Order: sequence, then structure tokens, then C-alpha cells
Amino acid sequence: MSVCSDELVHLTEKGLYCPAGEFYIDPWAPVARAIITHGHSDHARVGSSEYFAHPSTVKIMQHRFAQTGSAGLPLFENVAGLGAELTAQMHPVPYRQSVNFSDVKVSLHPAGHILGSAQVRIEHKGKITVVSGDYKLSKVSSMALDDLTCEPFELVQCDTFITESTFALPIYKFRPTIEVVAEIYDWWVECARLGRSALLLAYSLGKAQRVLAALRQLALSGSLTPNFSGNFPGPIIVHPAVHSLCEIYRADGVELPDYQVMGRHSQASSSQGNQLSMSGSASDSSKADTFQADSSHKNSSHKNSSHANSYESNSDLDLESKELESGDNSSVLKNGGALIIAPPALAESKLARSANVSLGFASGWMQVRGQRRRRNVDRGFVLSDHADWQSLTKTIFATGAASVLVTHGSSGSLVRFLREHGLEANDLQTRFEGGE
Amino acid sequence: MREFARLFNELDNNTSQEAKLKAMEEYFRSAPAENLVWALFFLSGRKLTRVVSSTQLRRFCMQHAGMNLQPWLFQECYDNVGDLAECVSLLLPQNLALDPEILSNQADEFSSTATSQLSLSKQMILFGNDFDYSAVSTELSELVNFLDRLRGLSEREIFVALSIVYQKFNQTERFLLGKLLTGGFRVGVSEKLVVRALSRFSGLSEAVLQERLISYKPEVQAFQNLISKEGVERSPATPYPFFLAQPLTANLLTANDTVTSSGQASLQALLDQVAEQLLENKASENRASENKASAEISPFDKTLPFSVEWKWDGIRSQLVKRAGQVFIWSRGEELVTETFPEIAKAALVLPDGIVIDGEILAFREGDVLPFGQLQKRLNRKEGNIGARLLDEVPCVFMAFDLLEFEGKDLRLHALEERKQYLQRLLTPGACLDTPSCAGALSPRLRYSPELGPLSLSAAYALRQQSRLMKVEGLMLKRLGSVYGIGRKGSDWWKWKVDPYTVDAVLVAAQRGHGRRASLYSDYTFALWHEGKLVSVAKAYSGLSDEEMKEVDRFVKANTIEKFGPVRSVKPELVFELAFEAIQLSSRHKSGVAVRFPRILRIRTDKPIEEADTLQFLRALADVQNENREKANSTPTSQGQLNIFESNT
Repeated sequence: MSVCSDELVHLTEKGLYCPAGEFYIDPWAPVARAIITHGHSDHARVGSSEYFAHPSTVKIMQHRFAQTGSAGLPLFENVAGLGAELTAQMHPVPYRQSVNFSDVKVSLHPAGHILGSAQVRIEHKGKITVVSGDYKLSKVSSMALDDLTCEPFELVQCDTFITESTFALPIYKFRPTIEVVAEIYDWWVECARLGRSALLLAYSLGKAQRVLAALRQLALSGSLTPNFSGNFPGPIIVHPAVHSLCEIYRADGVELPDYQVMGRHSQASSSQGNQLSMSGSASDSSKADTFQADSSHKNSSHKNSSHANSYESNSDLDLESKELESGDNSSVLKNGGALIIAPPALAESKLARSANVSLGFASGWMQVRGQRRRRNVDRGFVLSDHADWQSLTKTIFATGAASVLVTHGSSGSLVRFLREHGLEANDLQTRFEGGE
Repeated sequence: MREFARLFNELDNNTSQEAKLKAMEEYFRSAPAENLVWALFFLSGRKLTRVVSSTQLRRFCMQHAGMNLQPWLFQECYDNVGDLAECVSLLLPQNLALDPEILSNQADEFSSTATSQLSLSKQMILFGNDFDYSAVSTELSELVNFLDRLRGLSEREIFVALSIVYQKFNQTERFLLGKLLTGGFRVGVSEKLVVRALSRFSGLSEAVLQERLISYKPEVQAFQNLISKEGVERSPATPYPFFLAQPLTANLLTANDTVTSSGQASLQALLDQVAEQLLENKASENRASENKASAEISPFDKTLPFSVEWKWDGIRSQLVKRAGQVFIWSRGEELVTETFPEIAKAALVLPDGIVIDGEILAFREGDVLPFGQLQKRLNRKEGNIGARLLDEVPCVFMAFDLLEFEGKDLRLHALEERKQYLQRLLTPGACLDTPSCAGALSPRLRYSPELGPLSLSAAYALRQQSRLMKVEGLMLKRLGSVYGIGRKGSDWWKWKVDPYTVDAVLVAAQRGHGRRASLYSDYTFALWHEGKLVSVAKAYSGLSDEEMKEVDRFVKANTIEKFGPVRSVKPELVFELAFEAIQLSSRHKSGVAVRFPRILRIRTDKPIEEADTLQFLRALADVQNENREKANSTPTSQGQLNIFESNT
């Protein structure tokens, strides 16, 4: 590691630090001032005093942090008492708007990873460093959106580029979302034909909404020629952890298809929610209905329903989910035909092992057969929110950066490759996991 | 290939056996016969002689992958994927250049997308030979034929042909193609499951199919014979499916942990475990009634309803003598007659209509040679067993069961009866009674003696002498039982001797293959020697998936240095290792080589200072060697050797 302290950003015990502006980026310990690239739990951690992030990320953090205390999720060891997060100051910073910290100019730029995800551009005395966070590039022509749930990646010129490297090997080649989601759809149809349900494991923040939005797009595109009454062979059911984040996505204008929430008394919205009305204007009103019904439920649950609260608490950490296996979607599960979207933690659940359920997993890791077999899933769908090899190398060269610092993932390979191509590249040992 | 790839996907995409069975049945029903016969060939675990070496396939891939793919990056990819064929299928671009060198010279003429439509004349000009590219077809049977004809061509010609074939296929098909090319084909279905699907498809019993499948060839006629309802004419070479033993497992570790540290108590616990496995089924009623009758006799001292034999450490084989010819089959259903000419020759004097089950052993002057010696006889091209090797590693056939006699299937006869026939057959002079027998029986064919019926305690004591006898342990075969198929039922048990164990320190790790791909799961272990850790063994099996993930995390977080795919790690974790034998070896830095090392458990309770020393391991080797010398020289051990020398 050759990151000298005279550089604009360097690594400390607590994370990436910019001394000139006195702020950290995605720190893994509590600090005074944190800039957050996106809402995933290995980047946005509770306990700091001041947060600067994209408005959507702020909402995601508020949602996640609010549950941290009550659900007993791991806090920082040195946080004195619960409720520290409540006193944290949240500063929403829209994309491309500058914030100054003494003579350091900071702005956020779309990273294309998930809703609100940002690259952090840091300018100081004419030198520019960009911290990519996690990012991905569009896999379709520039006119169409590949991921409907977030703004596409924006290339930012810089001198130093700090890049992720989760999938930094040429074996990783990702395809357009819609192609993969069409595969998921075909699998769902096949499952329904056999009287089974399709259980898709996907990260509850980002991946799940990306799949949902693409399913809606697929239905609207008219390219489906289904033999069943609606566009889909059965209802979509989502895990409450997915649902609570879908609410944030919807509030930020991302259009998602109607669904039922797992294990929840869904009469209030199911008359419409069950019926997947996809025509343009109708969908807006029904979406509003569903949203209202769910949010009212949420309010009540906060006051007096500990049961509801316990599953709300799952957030994107994808932890416990036992209580979700029972619930009144059980009749749907028995009859098959549903598409259930749930966090990867459910891989070990009774539901996933049920004979009536086919298990799928949406992740970049599914590119490799050994990973698929080790996970013991029936179907692997290669769908990642990270950049593949081609995107990474293309981006890095296009930033014009002379110096590249590579974090979490296959950093060794990427560093060596970049050096062979004349860049000054180094490994940066962060604690980001880059899992999916 | 398309249908075969679809079948593969269905087999690969489903974790349910039923779904796999259905997919195979459907394939058998719908696929064209000429493709189907090859699909069955591959599904049942057979493989082509490889067309290209793995080094060549690597080179081909690097040439075509673009971006000037360097060998180190290819290696990184391979380490993450864990399978060459798959790695190549992921790295090759959608459109392949016919020949990258030509492409760079004449870029206009050969746009990459047009490669598959090259006119025949152009190819003839390029290569000026009678290489027939038009024969490239995506049909499985024709593809196999095409690949077959690539052998013996120059590397450049093979690569051009490969680029044409790869171009026609999607990623799954490319993966399968790579498997066909390199000769190693495993698709995640067991042969048993294939047989079951065939059984459902054909209406024949699994037993009949399994038997017929042994001599299966990928030809339409052979497939029709395979599923024919009529008794097809059987080749005289056809062996029977092997009957396999269940492992008898008794965990001394748990016995030690649960019972007090008194050795006697743990032995009791161990025997308890064994007795439970042996006696739980058929004998349980007998045991209950007998227990009442003779409560004063310990259950361990009662005679077991089993015949006891040594478990030989060789190659399980069937010796077939029919129509004046001898055929030797290994358990992998490979014909190994040519590999053991001395045994084949010795068996010629047997009468026709004989099938004997037994173990091929390297054997000299009444002593079993280490398995390593026997290995020298294997994996040699036909006819390559020279006189020197025959002299250096002489082999015998240790017979323990008779499956056919005078052309009649004996498998449903009782064990004792079969053994009686066998013993008589192999007794010197006995075969002279038979008119067809030409001469005296050679000592190359030996009868594996019965050591009992014995009590469990006596069997245990005998098993303790396994190392001395250079056997793997004991075989226990239920009296009165028939010869079954596969690893079924509880009639045959193998009771292996306890392995040697040491506590060793993890010092390096490498990524694994297949299911373990991209996990650091292949480990190097070290023992203390003069204050330093010296590597002694590599092992990968024995950990649960969870433990493997944990160690993977440990390796990534504690890497000291990277040497290609290998990472040296901070010495911190201690593992208990088991292995079967130790030999002094000058090739190893440690001076010893261990056989079949595997991990028993992670010793989180032990700091590295308490790991074992190299001296300790060497001492084990010395004990082993002393035993061998004793066995050869002292009169006391002579009696033990006689157990298998005579008894006939």
C-alpha cells in the first residue's frame, strides 16, 4: 500500500479520510463527519455525528438506522448507548451540487449502483480525486435505461480514481437487465406450469427493486404472450425487508409492479394488489392505493404491533426471517404460481427447502457454476449491481486518472492489469465487502 | 448438442432428483437415437480420449480471448472458476476469429462474424489439405466424430477447427464442448440416477440395465440392445456389477469425549457403535432373544453372524473366463486385462464360465507390496508393461467371491456356498477334475481366507493387526447373504483400521475446484522441526462448507505472501489430520510422505505451539517400518502371515 498521507484522501483505521476537508467517506467506525456513497450496510454505518449523502441515501439510512437500535443489529462497540443515531445530522446533497469543507469542494455524481448511489468527487487545489463507491455501467444502448431504479453512472474526470473491484476478472461479463429478467420471468412461468412457486433470492436493497421494475417494464412492453389471465402467471410476493425499501423507491418515483407482502394480512390492498393491472394510468392510482394501505399499516405497527415491527427490522442486512415463513400467504404458496422475492438469508429457510418451491438467486457470482452449486440453488441468474471487467477497465481508462487505487474484490488482478497498461495502480485495503 | 445442452441445464439447474429423472426420461424419449447414444455415453461417466491437452486449450483461449490476455490473468480466472472448460467458455468472446494471426493480416477478408460461413475453397487455400470443415455440425454425434478426426492434426489446424466449433455454440454448449475436448466429463448426475431414468424409460429393471451398461458402446444398435426386452446376446467379456461394502464407522473421538478417558471405556463405546451398525437390521430380533437367553455373555464376545476377511489394499477387480478367453475388469468398469498379463495368463487354465471377484495386489514372496508399487502398473498405454516392470512389481489376484460357475450365475446363492465353490476351484489340483482344465493352477490366483466367524472383540483385535498385515482393515460379510449390486443394504461392511493422526498448523492455502471453486480450500500443513514449521502434507477434504468458508475468510485476512495461486498464511490455525500410511521420502522436504491425508477437525482449542513435531511423525513411520521387518523375520509373526497363506 503506497497511499501517502500527503494525498488528498488516504486510509486510516476508521476508513477513507480527507484531512484537508476533515471528512471520511463510508467510514466503518463512528466519526464526526461522514460522506456516504450509498445505503448498503457495509458503506453506510450507524454512529457518526454528521452525514452527507444523496437525498435517497439519506432516506435509506434513516430507515435502516431507525431500526438498528430496536432490532439489536450490531452497533459500533464504542457507541455509548442506543439512540446515538437519532442525534445524527443528515445533510441531503443532490447530485452535482457542491459542498465546501474549508477549501475542499465536494460533489456527488451518479454511480448507477442502486437508488441514490454516488461517486464522491473531491477537488482541492486543482487536484481531483473520485471515490467510486460501488458502481455499474449501463449494459444497453445509451437511449434506454438499463437499471430503471437509479440514475445511470456518470463519468467524472479525475487525477486519482478510487475504484471497487468486486468482479474484476474477465470471466465476469454481465448482460442487460431486461434479458436476465426475461429469464427470471420464463423460470417463473415454468414453475407456475408445474404448480410450484419461484423463490428468488435478491438483496433487499437495490437488486430486488431492479428486478421488480424490470418485470413491470417487461409486462408493459407487450412482448409477453402469456396464456394466463394477467401478464404474470401469479402474484408477486415480497419479503417485508424488501417491501420497506420498495416504499422508499416508490416515494422517489421508481415505478414498481403491485405485489403482496409476505406473511402479512394483505386484504386491504390485495383486491387490487393481487390483480396486476398494468395499464398506464390505472397503475398509478392502484400504486397510490397500495402505498397508502401499507404505510398506514406501518404507522400502526410502530405503535403497538411488535410482530410487524420484528420483520420490519430486517432491513437490508438480510438477517433473521423465521417469522416470515408462517403467514397468510401460505395458501398462495401451497397452490404455487407465485414469484417470491426475498433476501439471500432465506436460502436456509423452510420455505426455500419446500418441495413446492424452486429456488433462484440473482447475483453476479452466479456467473460461476461452482458458486451456484455451492449455494445449492436451482437457478442462478447473473445479475449484478457491480461493474464487470469490461466496465471497470473502460471506466478507469476513461476517467483519465493517472493514479488508481483499487478497493474490495479482486483488487490484485486489477492492479496488476492496470500497471501492465501503464497506470500507477495500488491496492487499498478497505473493509467494504462488495458482496451480493 | 442443443438438446444435450438443454438436458445438461435441466440436470444442472435442478437440485431435486425427481426433476433430474424427468429431464433424462424426456431426453431419452425425444432425442434422435444417434445423439442419444452419445449422451448416454457421457452421462454414464464415460469419456473420449482427449482431443487437446489442457495446456493447448488454455493457449487457444488466450489467443482468442482478446485484450492480449496474459497467462497470469488466465490463471487468476481459472483459480476462481475451478474448471478449465468453464473458464474457457466464460473468457471466449461471442465472436471468434478463425485464426487470430490471419485475421490481423487480412482483416477485411475475414470479419469475425463471417468465420462460420467461410467458403470451402478459401479454407482449402489456407491450409492446402483435405481437411473437411463442412463436416462441422452441432449435432452431438457428428460433433464427436469431428473431434475424433482432429487427433493427429497440427495445433494450428486444430485451433482453426476449434474456433469454428466454438463459434457455433452458446456458453453452456461451449462449456460442454470443453468437457468433451479435455476428456473429463462429470455432469452432476450419478450413474445410479442415469440407470434409474433408463429403467423408467425402458421398463427394464435397474439391475438388468446396470449389468448391460457395463459393456455399452455409443452405437445405436448397442443402445437398442441395452433397452431390449429380450435377453440380448451377451458378450463373453461382460462382468457383473460390483457389490460394494458400506463403511463401518465408529468415532473414537466421540467415544473419547463422551466416555471417561479410560481406554477400556472408550473401546466399549466404540464397539457399541459398531455393534449397533452391524446388528441393527436383520439380526436385531435374534440379538434380543439371544440376549435374554445368555445375558451373562457380553454382546461383544458372541460370535458375529458375519464372515470376516482382510480388506486388501489393491485394485478391486473381476476376473472373467469365458469362451477360452480371460477378461479382467476394474471396479471403474475398465478392461485392464493387458495391464496384468501374468494374471490373465494364469487364469487361462480355469474352466470356461467363471467369474471371480477379488483384489489385484502387488505381491512378492508372500508379502503385500505398498499400493504405490501397484500404481506403477497403472495408467500405462497398452502393451507397455515390460518384462522389467513385471519383474519389479509382480501381481496376484486375491479371490474372495465366485459370481459365475460353469456358466451359471451364482449371485443369489448364499455367501458360504459361493466361497466353498471358490475355495475348491482355487485349491491346487482341484481344477484338474474338470476336463477343460489344461494344467495346474498358478500361485498368481489366491484365495482370500476367511478369518472367522469371530466375536466382535476378536474381530477388533484382529483389525488392530491390519497395518502389520499391510491390509486396510477387515471386511465383514453377512453369512447367508446374496451378492448384491452397488452399495446397497447392510450385508457387506468394510471396517478400516483407524488412521494415523497428527495436529498440524495451516501454513498455506490455494483455491479449490468445482464446488470449492474460488474458496481457499486446499491447504498445506506443517509440523514443528527445530523451532520452525516444516510443510508435511496437503489436504482439502474433511471440512464442512461452513468451516471451509470460515477458513477462507481466515486465509484472506491473514495472507503473508502470494505465490501465484498460493497464499502463505500466518500460522495460527491447528488442524487434526488423518492419513493412512507414512513413507520415508527423499523427494519431500520433510523427509516423509503421507498417504491420503485429510482433515478430521479444526483444533480451535490448540495454540500452534502445541502442534506435533516432525520427529513424532517420523517415529510413526519408524514404527510402521519396524513392524514390517518384524513381520518378515520373526517366527511369531509367521503364524499371522499364515492366516492368508494357507487356510485352504
